Amino acid sequence: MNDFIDGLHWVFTAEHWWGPGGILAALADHVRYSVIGLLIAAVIGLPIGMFVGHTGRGRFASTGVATALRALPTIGVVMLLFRWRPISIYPVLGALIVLAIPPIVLNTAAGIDAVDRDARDAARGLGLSPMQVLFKVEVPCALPLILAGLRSAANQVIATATVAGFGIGLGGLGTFLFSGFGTQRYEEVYGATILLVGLVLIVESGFVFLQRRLVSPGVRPPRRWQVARGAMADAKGTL
Amino acid sequence: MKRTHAWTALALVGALALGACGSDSDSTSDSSSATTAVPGASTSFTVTVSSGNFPESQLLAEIYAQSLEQAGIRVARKDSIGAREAYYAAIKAGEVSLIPEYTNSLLSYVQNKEGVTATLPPTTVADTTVDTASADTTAATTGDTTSDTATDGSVPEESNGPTIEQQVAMIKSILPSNLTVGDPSTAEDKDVIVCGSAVAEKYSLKTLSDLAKVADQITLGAPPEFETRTPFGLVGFKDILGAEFKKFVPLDIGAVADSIKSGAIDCGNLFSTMSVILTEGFIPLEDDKTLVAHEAVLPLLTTDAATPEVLDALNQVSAGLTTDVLKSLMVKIEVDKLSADEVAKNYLASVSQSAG
Repeated sequence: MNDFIDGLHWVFTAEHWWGPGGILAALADHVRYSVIGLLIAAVIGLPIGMFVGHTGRGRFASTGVATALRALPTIGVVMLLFRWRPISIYPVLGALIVLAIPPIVLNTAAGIDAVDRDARDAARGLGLSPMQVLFKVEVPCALPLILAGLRSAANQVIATATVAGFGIGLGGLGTFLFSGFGTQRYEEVYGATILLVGLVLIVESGFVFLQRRLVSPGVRPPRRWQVARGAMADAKGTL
Repeated sequence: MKRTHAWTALALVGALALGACGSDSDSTSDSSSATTAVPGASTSFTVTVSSGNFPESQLLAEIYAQSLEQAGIRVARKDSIGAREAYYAAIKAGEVSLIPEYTNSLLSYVQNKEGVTATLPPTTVADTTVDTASADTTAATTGDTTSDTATDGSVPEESNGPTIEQQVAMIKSILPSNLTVGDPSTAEDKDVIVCGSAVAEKYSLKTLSDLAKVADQITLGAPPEFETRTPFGLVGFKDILGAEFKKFVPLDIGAVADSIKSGAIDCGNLFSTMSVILTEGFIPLEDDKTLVAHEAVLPLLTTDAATPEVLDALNQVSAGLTTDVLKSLMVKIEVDKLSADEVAKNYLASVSQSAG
């Protein structure tokens, strides 16, 4: 508990925020890397997931590849790419992308795959083209799962973007973990961890907001009171 | 059945190891001792050379060994023993008789190990004090002190640590009676700040004091501990040199050279004999305030082995060995992947050629 308070104290010390080595600069780097990594992963992962979910083709291959990617140790990826481009952001971005693609692909494919057959057939019956079926019916219906995939990818990316600061000097919140351990200033380590958790929570709530705004009310998971009322109705019905 | 297999394997490994040792000493005895070992009176004594478990120590040990062989002294080689804890115990027990060492590391280790404190011998710092004094007077007379005011915040001492000679005297005063050291070389393996050649040229950087003057425009990279260390660290740089850097980037030591190369940092913390300094053309800055204790290479040997012939041969090695020489030899080991044996042979051949 003391450590936590030391960490909070570090976070709330104004002088730690400014300057080229300060929290603000590190946060900016961290968010930048995370956003770029997630965007690129989404640009790659979403179409693959949609293709697999819509056509049902390549499901085995995509699941296999995604699982294999998930098993890759991030540090290994960074080191491998580091040989190719030392001291640049590419190794870190590469690792983040590799990390973020599997949940995006798997969730998107699973979400589209789970769309009600009848809805799909109805759309086709109305004369919608395959693309229209995908974007007007399947994607909206699968949106909760697709967003969940992006969300879990985002969390992993934010947590893993710390490797940028680990020894290779590319900034981000990981810098504080690295130098905090090196200099045994553990309040810095705890402080950076608190900031990371805070960042993840902010992004989480952002996704909750997105989900509220984007997901059509028809496919939205029922609110708790709705569930309760339904259960009550069910209970009444059975009585 | 399984058991016999294991034993055969073990025996095989042992035979291989022995074979390796055998061939090693064969090749060396070919080159010198068999033919030249006869004349000296003390040749009945075999000097057993060993090293610490890192490439530079192994190279230095090989240079010592071969130069002793050239002087007609019988030499046996023992594989690298390990860290200082291990090899110091071995040489103290007389299991080996010669090991390359570094002045400050040896001094502080012996102080801890033997529980004694060496006192700093009286200094003869005439030239440095005169230097600063004259600098002061010229500044005062011309009234042109603007260039110096940047570093004036704290009065810099002329030196923060003992000279190599003082270190050697201190080492000799506390070594156990069966150990001694030869003359120190000027080759030093210690922390150094290096800058990219373009940066060094732009700000005409030669010494750490030069760096301190333009520190607010320099991004410095070093392992994270550097930030809180003194005198060789950001704290010491600020207190002693009045230097505050534009930015400090905590780095793994292995990433420092790449970071300088890519321009991510201007200057960084490396070790003075790293081959990358030479291969990348980095400019090492002279530690003009002795922020880092001297780590001069010198031979640590048992008094049994320290015959005049042995000491003479070793001191000749020390006389020729500089940091630049050692660095260029390390390039051959680390970059060209030559063996220590080969590098030592070539080096000693070139030395004797240039001497004769």
